[in-house]
Amino acid sequence: MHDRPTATELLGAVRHFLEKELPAHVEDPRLRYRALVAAHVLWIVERQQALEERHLVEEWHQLAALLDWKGAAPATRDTLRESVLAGNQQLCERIRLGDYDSHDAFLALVRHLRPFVARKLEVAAPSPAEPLRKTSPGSPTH
Amino acid sequence: MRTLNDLSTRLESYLAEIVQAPVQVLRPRRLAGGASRASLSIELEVASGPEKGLHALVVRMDLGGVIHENALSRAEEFRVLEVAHRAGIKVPRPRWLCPDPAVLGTPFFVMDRIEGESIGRRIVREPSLARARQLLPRQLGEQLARIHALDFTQPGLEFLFSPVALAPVRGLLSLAYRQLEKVGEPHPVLELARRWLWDNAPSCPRRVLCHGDFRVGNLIVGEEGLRAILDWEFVHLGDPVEDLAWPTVRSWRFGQDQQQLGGIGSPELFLAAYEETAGVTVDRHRLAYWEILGNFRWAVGCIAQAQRHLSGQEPSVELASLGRRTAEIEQELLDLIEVAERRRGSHA
Repeated sequence: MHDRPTATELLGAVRHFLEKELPAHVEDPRLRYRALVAAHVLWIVERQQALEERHLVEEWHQLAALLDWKGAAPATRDTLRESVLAGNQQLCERIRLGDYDSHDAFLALVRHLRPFVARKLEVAAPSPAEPLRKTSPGSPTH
Repeated sequence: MRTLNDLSTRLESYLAEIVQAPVQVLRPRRLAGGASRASLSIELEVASGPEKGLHALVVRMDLGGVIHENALSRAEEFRVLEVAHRAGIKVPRPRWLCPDPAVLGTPFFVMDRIEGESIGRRIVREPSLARARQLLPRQLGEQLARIHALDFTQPGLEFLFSPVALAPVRGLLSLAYRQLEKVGEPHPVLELARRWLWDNAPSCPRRVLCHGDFRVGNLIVGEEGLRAILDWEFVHLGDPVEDLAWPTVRSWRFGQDQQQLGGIGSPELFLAAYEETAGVTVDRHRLAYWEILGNFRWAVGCIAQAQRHLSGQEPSVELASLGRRTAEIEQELLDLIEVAERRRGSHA
């Protein structure tokens, strides 16, 4: 058993430092921006820690329905993760083979894939206050 | 990487020889880099001769190591800038090209620095740029029409004739897909989008010199609107609709989603100015296709940028974070292909 703060709480502490304390003391605007990006990345990790287990179970069941898997979902987070990765690969393979080429099958798959993306966004989508949505990578600052 | 002082000293001796006068490089600073090059901002004080005076300049260098496979070299980009500048298109005046890597470690060129705002998230929000946002859609349409009118058959631009120029739609799609395959992560949404894009690829009736990265974020903007179009490293021969759709891709709206043209205004104003200047009509269905292809390519771009961090090639929290932006673009792709497929179905 580890002591407090928990891992998530520690991430929160570093995020607070990067977001609230550091930027005011950094002159270079590019570095200041990078500190905010780093804080945002920690925010993603915090959310993933909280949500991943539930997301993996949901995704496994959806993949099982799409790919006709039988049996129960794996019990541990690691085996779930492996199984979900394999399922996504199989799904890609089926798309490549043309299994969803017909108009109706295509639209049905679009509908099925929405929760796949929604889960990723629940973890990674920046809120309007976050810096990532507003920026373009690789653009020059003149 | 060389230090700023070292770069300045080397630039000084090189530029002194070019302008045939004593020079001083002042206030050097690095500008944020791009896919295949690094930029430096300097002031150049020339003591005598025809160039006597203070010049505000940008030095664009190749980065060592892996170069983006579709990007032009600095020498090629310089040629394109010269052609565009001669044609009166709003670009920073290209000044000197140094193809010799011995001087700074990589080939580089020097161009005028144009003052103004280039950061996308500021261009779409700054209250002082409200008038600029009204003017920009038409200005961009007019300038893009003039870029597309450039004669790409003139001597010196032979490098533009790449394999992609033979098949602008499926060529670009294949390039992006190959990049995705190389990474090897499963992305069912991108697989599905690629399938749809391949099956619905339109023909390319007109081939032009495309800018290749024409969008907010690659512009210099002042209160009076457009001052300069930057980042000519992705110029290629292709379908003009590619450049027309790219600035409408959601990621380039910088959070101002209701303004579909780059977070600043309506695509219709932009398209109308383009059509007037170019004397053509833009097919809106083909535009919708290219918006989907643009999103697909940018989704793969995010994955590829994250790979630059993951491979150890360029450790960067910014590049790493881009991997997690893929989901936003996938959501946009689902929205766009659903609409397009329903429309296709109702016409079948």
